[in-house]
Amino acid sequence: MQQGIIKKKNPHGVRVIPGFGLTFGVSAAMLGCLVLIPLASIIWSAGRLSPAQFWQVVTSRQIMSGYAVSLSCAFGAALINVLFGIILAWVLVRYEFPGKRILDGMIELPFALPTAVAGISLTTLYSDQGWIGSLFAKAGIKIAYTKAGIMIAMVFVGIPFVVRSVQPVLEKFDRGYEEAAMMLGAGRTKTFFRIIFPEIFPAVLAGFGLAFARGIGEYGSVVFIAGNIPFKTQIAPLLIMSKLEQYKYADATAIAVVLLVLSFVVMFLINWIQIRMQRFNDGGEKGASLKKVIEPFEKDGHSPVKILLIIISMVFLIVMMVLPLMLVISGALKEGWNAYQHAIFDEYTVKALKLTIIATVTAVVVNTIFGIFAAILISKYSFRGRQVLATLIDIPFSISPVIAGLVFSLTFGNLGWMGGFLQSHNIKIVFAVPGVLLATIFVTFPFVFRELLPVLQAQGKDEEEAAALMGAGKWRIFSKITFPHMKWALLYGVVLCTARAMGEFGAVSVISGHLRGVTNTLPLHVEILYNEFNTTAAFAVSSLLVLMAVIILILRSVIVAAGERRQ
Amino acid sequence: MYIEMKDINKTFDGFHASRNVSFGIEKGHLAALLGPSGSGKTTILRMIAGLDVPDSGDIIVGGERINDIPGSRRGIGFVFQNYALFRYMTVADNIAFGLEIQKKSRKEIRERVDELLELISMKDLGKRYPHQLSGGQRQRVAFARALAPNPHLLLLDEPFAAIDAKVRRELRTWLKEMIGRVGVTSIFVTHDQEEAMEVADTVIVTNEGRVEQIGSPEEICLHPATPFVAEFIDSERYEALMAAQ
Repeated sequence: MQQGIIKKKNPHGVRVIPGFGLTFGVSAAMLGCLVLIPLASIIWSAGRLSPAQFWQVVTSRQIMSGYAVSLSCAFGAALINVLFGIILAWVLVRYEFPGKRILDGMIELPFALPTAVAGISLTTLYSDQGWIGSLFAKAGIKIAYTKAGIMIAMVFVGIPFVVRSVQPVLEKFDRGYEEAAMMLGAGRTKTFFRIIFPEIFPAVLAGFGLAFARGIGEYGSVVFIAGNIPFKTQIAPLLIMSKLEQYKYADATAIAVVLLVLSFVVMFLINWIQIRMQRFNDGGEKGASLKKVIEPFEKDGHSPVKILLIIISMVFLIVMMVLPLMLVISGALKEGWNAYQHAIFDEYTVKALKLTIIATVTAVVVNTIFGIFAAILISKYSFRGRQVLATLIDIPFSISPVIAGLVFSLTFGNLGWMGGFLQSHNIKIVFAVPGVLLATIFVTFPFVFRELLPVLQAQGKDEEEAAALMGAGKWRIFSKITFPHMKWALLYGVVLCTARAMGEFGAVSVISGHLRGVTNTLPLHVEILYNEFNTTAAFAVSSLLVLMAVIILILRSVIVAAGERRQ
Repeated sequence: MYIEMKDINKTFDGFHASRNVSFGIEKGHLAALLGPSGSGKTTILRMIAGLDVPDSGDIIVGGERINDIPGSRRGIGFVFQNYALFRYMTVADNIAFGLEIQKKSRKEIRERVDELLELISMKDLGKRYPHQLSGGQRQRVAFARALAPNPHLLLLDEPFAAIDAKVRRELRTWLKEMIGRVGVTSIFVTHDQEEAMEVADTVIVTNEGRVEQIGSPEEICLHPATPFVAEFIDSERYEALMAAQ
């Protein structure tokens, strides 16, 4: 194969489909300006610390304990998520029971519910006086303001990652293997651990990795329930935040660099194990695992195992999702309807709502434009560095929101590398609305892209090639051929992006400066009210966000159902 | 020769897909590129269409070197292996697509579409969507769509691969007859020798990126030029086939 390789000008042949230059230009420019340049500020800022200083910061007792708390709690939470995630995915794929659709929709709640709302409601729920916390308090167990509390918040934010990784694999799993094992005399437990578990293991691992990484970086939902007791429940992202509040940018950067390296190492390790597993799996029959299961549920009626698993799933969802939502509503109405109305129509609430809407709309528009161009670029053209580009686009997904806020402070803040220039031209970005918008765009950057890419990749490029061969131009190909394929995924991506954008807390918190009525978004407003012990108002404002989250979940279900019907 | 390939070479990431490929096809002929999978036949077809570019060598159609002409301006009709029908367009819109790009008048487009629907005996199915058609119907639509702008060369990539074995033979006869009626020079790719022998006037046998032999089906079967061809072609089956006809 190696003999006589001829040097070529263009290794990938001609690009038959027109529009490569445009899609590449737009994607690269947006990625560069909105993600890569701000991110590079971290390197610029870290470079200003000498290695000795860097070492001193990251090895100080407080910081080391912050890493230990973040890593151990995230690891524990990810393990718990694996256990419940597999059960939930199993129940959703294998069983048919009343309320299954609602259960399926609820899984997505942590994606849709702003983390600050999750944070204050979980804290109240698990505090000594809370609905659940008081039960444990009688037995002398404290949950809120301990590591157990931190883990509960991380379980909440991480659960959808495991369920949504495992679910599709279980759906595609060929029931034949299972039946073969049963015919050979294997019992249910043996069949699960020897036949099914190895099959879903790569997906479980992926879900574990995502939940773990999310846990390490999570800020909004954890910071309330953690209580932030030094050396006990202070998490690493919180330490970055407090260094920033003291204007110790270099220290914040040093902590962030270590955190970034940690999350990349986790993701890399998991990728590596998955690739190893893949090789192992390829030995089997191809296509066997692709066979669609026709019957959605088990034949054997109401076995005790089935009932037990459904009950576990229900209890998990009630404790983790339903009770926090109910708590928000009851907390909001605690002082009666008038107090509720008062909190909602408060001047600052209305202003925060307006800013939230502006930030959300901006992020959705920008990221939809980017997502369309970038997904077409990656799926329809081959070029050198394609894989690298796809990885770069995912970066905002895998880093802590606090770090996302940090990079903008380092770029545009008074001490940032563009700070001097901005000051002399009297442009304010940090602690002003533009900063809030940029941070929101950054955090939600890959959302639309991520939804579009698999759909366009599955479609292939034959239709576009066929149209291009007939002489169709790029706009005609886009509007008549590519766009109709991605309609549903686009809508879904927009919904997800909206959910995340309106709930963004960590990144916006760093960069907004919490100026009431100016740079406060709804989640930040919730935090301020809560910290001022104005719990009723905090829950009243939260109820608005809960309402939006519920609308988003319903929309999501409708879109998924409609998309499936079209297939 | 109407189509001439002269000393074509092509590699993909170190994989040699075409090695000094040269052959010619006469105008009006129906040629088959026959070979095992991975022998480089589809690459040859894609290079003629302009979907891939050769690293070296000349592609000449009608006396003109077309290497540097983009695929969209080569006047070639292409039938994809899985047909690549536009899923979100009706049968009629699929067929009309190439004509719309040529900015033909509405009336002209309608007449041509009707004519082609008639040709493929799907007169009443113009409003259907691809997913509402059988495999054989889809192939006929792909054929009509490729023919609509009156190409002077028709390329078909494994045209029968996606079709049920039962209807495959029927469609083969149909395609041969259609191409004969339209009179367009055509090349199709196949790995099935029976298909090549039954349908083509000229068969080009490929193996490991090389052309092993070019000739009429009879020549290839009765006088294989290389040991590979002798082994690949089952002459007994050919004789049985000829006897049956």
